[in-house]
Amino acid sequence: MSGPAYTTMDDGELVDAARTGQLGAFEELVARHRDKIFARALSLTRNEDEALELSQTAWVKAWQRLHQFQGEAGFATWMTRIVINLSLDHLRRQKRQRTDSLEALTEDNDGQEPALPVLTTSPTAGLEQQELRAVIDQALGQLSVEHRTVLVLHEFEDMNYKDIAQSTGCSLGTVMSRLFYARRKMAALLAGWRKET
Amino acid sequence: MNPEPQLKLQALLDGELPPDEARALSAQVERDPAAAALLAELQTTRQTLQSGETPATVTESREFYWSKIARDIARLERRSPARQKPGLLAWLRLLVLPVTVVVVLVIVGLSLHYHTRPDSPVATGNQPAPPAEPKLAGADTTNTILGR
Repeated sequence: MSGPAYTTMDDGELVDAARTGQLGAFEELVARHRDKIFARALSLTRNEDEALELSQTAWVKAWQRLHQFQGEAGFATWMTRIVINLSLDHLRRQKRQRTDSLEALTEDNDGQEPALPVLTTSPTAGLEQQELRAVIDQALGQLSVEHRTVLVLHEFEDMNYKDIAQSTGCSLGTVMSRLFYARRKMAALLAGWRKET
Repeated sequence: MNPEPQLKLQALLDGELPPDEARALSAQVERDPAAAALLAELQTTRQTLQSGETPATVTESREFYWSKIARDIARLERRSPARQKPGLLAWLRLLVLPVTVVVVLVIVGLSLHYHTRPDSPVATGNQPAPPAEPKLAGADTTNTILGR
């Protein structure tokens, strides 16, 4: 089948074609969803090169596991889960390699975070969308890997506590605690940005 | 506020509490300004985040990005034994089991056929007559010579 014909097919049809070995159909799926998959890896790793490599590895894994795709969720959702799992594995490997870091020490103190004052106004009110995104991105970059991970999975991927616990290999309590402190830190970081400007 | 009620408030916000518990906690929040303020902050942060994820795009061209994926897939396909064409030895190995089965079946079949034939000694219960003793050539002559 020629390239343009694939562009008229929906994701499900492309998956079916790819399952029969049609690489062109799979290439079309890659072209359609590569930005989203890359973005998710980037939001977790905060490193463009790593995110690019992880996203490409995710596509290769998807090709190998196409027969496992049941179609209950959309193809993009299924792909996103693959890249999330790969990114989390990657972060875990990185963490093991720097066990003596300060981050590893603070990780154990999830339940004893410093008390932050409760903010009564939205620090980002009145910002343009593009500006808001830049501020959020900057604030996310200042969170620990653990806090950023739960925040990204919950707020951007709409995953519930149980699914996050499964993906990260943490208890439900740890997920709740991390999410709480991640949100509070985000609020403080965004408020700090407002004071600076 | 202790950590546990704080986490409950968050669970309320995220819709992770059972309905009964959620109703009770909501009523409690209305009477507790500190809890209400914290809930409002968590809600604002959540809304801010959900509206502001930075879209990221792959800067590499479609062809270049795909080329690495295609290369890795091709490498995997070469390694995968299921997709390789079997060689002569592999074919022979593949044939050993079916050929053995066929041979065994033929032997069993022949054996059954022999034992269930109507004229078969096993089927009739008649034992075959012992074969006639072969006459030795020249036996009479020998006796004559010996004078018997």
